[in-house]
Amino acid sequence: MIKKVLIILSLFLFAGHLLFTVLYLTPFNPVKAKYSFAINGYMEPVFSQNWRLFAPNPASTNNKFLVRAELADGEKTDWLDLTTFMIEKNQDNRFTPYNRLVRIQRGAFTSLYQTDEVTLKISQTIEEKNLDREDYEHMLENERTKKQDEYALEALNRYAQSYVRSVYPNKDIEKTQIIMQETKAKPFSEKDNEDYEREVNLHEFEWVDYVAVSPVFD
Amino acid sequence: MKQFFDKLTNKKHMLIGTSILRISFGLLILYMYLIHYAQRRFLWGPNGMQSHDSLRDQMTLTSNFSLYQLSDSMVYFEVIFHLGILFALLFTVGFMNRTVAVLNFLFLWSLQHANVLILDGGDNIMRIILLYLIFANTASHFSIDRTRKIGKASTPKPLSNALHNLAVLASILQLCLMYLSSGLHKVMGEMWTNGTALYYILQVGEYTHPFFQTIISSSEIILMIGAYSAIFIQLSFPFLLLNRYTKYLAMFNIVALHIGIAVVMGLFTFSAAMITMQLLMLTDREYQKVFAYVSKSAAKFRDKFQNTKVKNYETKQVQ
Repeated sequence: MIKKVLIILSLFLFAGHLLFTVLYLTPFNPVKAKYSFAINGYMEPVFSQNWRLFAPNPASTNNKFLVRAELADGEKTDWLDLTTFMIEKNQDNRFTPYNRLVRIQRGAFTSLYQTDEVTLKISQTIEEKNLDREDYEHMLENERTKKQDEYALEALNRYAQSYVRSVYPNKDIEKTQIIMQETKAKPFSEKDNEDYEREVNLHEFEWVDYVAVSPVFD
Repeated sequence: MKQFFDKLTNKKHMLIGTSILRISFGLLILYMYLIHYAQRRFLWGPNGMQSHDSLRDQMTLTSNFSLYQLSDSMVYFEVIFHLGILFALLFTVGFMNRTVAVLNFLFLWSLQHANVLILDGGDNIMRIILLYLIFANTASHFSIDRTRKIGKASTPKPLSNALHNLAVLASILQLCLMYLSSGLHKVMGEMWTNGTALYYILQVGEYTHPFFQTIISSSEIILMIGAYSAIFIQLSFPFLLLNRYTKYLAMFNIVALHIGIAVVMGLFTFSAAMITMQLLMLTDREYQKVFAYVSKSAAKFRDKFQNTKVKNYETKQVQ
C-alpha cells in the first residue's frame, strides 16, 4: 500500500517537473513574464539549461583578445595575441585540450553581456524605440548580473596573466591590460565583394595588478 | 489506467539502452578529466582562472554548491579531482552502481560549476540526464554489478521499476523538449529563416574550419538546406518518435545533424554527448535484434574465413 502511494506520488512529481521544464524552455511569453520568478526558482540551479544554441541570432563576430604587461621598470611589453593560436590549434586537430580551452575567452566575453530574458527584452525595447538607456539603467542592472560580469572579467584577466607569465617567465610583471578587437562579420550581401572592409572596433579594458595564477601550460 | 500502471510497475524497460548510455557518458566524462589533466589547476584549481574567493561568492550568489568551494588548499583540490576520476571510472564499469551514480553526479556537478565558462550544451544535457538516471538501473548489462549478481534470484520491485521507467521517460522527454526549444528559437531568428545563419556562424573562428567554410559558403543551395534542415530536424524530432518506424528516421536525422556539427564546427564533445543520447531510444528487444544480427554476421564471417583457411591448407597438401 505504501509503495502504491509512493508510486502515485512519484507520478505527480514527474508531471509537475515536466510542466516546469516545458515552461522554462518555451520562448518568452505571457505566462513566463508573469511567473518567471517561480519557474526559475524551481529549475535553477539544479535543472538549469539553455538550448538557444546559435539562436535566435547566431554569433557572427570575431573577438580577438590581446594582452600587454607593464614591468617593474615601467617598460611596457608588446601586445600578445591570446586568441588566434588557440583557434588555429583547435582547427588543426579537434582532439586536443584546445577544443575546450578555445572557449575561455568567448565564454567569459558572452558571460559579460549575458542577462536574463526579462532584462534582455527591456534592453531590446530600448534599442527598438530609441529610448535613452540611462533612464532605464535601474531596470537593466541588478546585483546578480553585475557580480557575474565581475567574475567573467576577472577570469579573462587571470587567463591573460597566466599567459603573459608563460611568455615572460623571468620578468617582474607589475600590471597587465587586455584589449579586445571586435571584427564584425562580412554581410551576406557583400559575400563576393573582395574589397569589403570589415568593421573593426577596439575595446580597451582597465589595467589590473598582476597576480600569480596557476599556469595554463606547464 | 490499470494497463498504464502495470506497464509502469511490472518490469524495467530500456535496460540495455540505459546501460550503454552509462558507459558512453562515463567515457565522455573520463575524456574530459584526462584530456585536461595537465591544465586542471588552471581550469578548476583554487588559484586558477577563478580565484577561490570568487568561486565561493558565485556559488552563494546563485544558491549553488560545488565540492571545489570547500577549501582553497591545493591538496584538497587534487584529492577531489582524482576522486572524481575514480568515480567516473567506477561508473563506467558499473560497480556499486546505486551509490556510484550519485557520487559521480556530485563530482561532475562540482567540476562543471567550478568553471562554467568552458561548458557546452553537451555538458548541460549530460548533467541533467545523469541526475534523472540516478533513479534508474543503469548497470543491468555490461557491468561488474551484473557479473556479481548472476545466480541471485530477483524479487518483484514495483516501486523501483516505476522509478526506473519514469527516469527513462523523463530523459527522453527532456531530449524532446530540448530540440523543440532549440528549433523554436531558431525559427524566431531572422538569419535562420532567411537561410544565412550558417554563412555567419562559419565566419566565427571558434566555430569554423577554413576548408568547410569555403565549400559551404560558396553555395547558396547548401546554405539554405543547412539552415532549414537544422530547424526541421529539431522541430520534427518529438513527433517522429511517436511512430515506431519514423522513430528510426528521427534518430538518423539527429545523428546526422550532430555529425555535421562535429565535423564542420568542431564542437566534438557537444556532438558526442548528443549522439550518445540517441542510444536511449532503442528498446531492449530492438537491441537484442541488433546483437543477434551482429553475432550472426560475425559467425558467418568467421566460418567463411576459417573455411578458406582450411581449403588453402588442403590444396597445399595436395600439391
